[in-house]
Amino acid sequence: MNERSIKYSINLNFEEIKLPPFQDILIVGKNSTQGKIGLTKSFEMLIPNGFETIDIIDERVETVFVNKHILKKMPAEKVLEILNKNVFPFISDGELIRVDFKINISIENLEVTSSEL
Amino acid sequence: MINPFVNREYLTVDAFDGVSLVKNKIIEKGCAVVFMDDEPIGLITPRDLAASPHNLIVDCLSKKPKLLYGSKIKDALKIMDESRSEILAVYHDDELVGTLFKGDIANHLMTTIETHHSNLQEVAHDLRTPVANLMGIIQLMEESFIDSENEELFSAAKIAYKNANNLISEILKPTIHPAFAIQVTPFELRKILEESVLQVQDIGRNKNIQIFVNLPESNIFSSGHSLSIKRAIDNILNNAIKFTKPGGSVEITSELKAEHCFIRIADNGIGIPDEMKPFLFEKFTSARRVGTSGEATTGMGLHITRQICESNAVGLRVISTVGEGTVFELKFKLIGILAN
Repeated sequence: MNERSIKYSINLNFEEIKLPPFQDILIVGKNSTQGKIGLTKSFEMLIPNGFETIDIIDERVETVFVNKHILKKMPAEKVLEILNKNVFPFISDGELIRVDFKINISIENLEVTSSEL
Repeated sequence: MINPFVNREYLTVDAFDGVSLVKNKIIEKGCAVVFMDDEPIGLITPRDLAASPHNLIVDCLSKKPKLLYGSKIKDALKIMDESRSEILAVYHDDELVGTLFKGDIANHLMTTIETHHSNLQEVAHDLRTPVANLMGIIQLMEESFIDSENEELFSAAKIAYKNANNLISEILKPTIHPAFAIQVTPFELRKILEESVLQVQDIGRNKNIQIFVNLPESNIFSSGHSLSIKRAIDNILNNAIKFTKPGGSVEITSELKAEHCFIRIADNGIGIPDEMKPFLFEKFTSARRVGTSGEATTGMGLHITRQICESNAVGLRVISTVGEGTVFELKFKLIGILAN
């Protein structure tokens, strides 16, 4: 009688990740399993003083975490306005949405006097 | 006070405990005090867990009012009703001392009510005999002192005995849930009014107060518990006579309007001051006064009248001016009118 042999086949792939799993903005939808306080505490432990928690009144969104680097370049109200117009309409109940938000600032007609040179 | 009902032994959980780990314990105990960094931060209840989808205890916590140790039961129940909470945390000098369950207070109140009712029934039962003896004495005296002047006194004494006996019977009735206590049957309104007037005629005559009755000839039918409604009308009529000076008058009129019959009992007595009106129908009201001829009052009559009207769906309105008199208006739902 032939003996049975078992062969295992493994597909392996890996990549670098960063924690927390978002760098710019995280939107927490209503009724998500992860609550605001738990998320705030965990992000604070990972990157102390790295994110701003913005509570908003919206039927779809519980709260928004924004990297402070973004708020240095653009006020929170403007960021929320952009998110409200372009992202919030796509959020479903219970979802966590990662938003990549890269700001590019260019300044034109910058005058420098000869004395400043 | 709430102090005897405060639970000092309570379940504690950490704010960052997973809900799935502690949920069953919270449901079993009814609540848990949530600690963060060794400090209590709130009370979590099964209702919080049901209302929240989060997986950490701290995210499921809802804001609840704090009860102060030493608060009155009435105030604590009011806070619980307003916040729709069955359980609240109790604090003393900003320190959590325990939890309070509404159910514990309710059980205590039920026991107290049952005890009081039982005591009241015992007293009423014991009163039956002396009151019955009084009637016997009245009857004996009536046989010995037969003249027209005494006849009226004996008549009044017999009415007083009848009222006392009816009250004792009411107290001795078995306790029935209010929803089932009212036997709603059709009754003839004019008959009840005429009986009430007959009952108070001697009292009115003794005080030189004229009672005028202006009712339609037809029989007016409404529905409700006729004995209770008669009691309400008796209370109003007695008050009308009590608070009218000798030489005054009381008038009973009726008005049929659409599907209702309005009965108005109006006196030209001392009237009710504005500051007393908000308290008129309270139990043992502070608005109670001695009658114009020194008649005593318990402060219960109008409270009972209002309760009877509410349970029989009879509208009740009072219009009064000091020095001019008072009108009590009762609004009955008509079920029929029969010409006499």
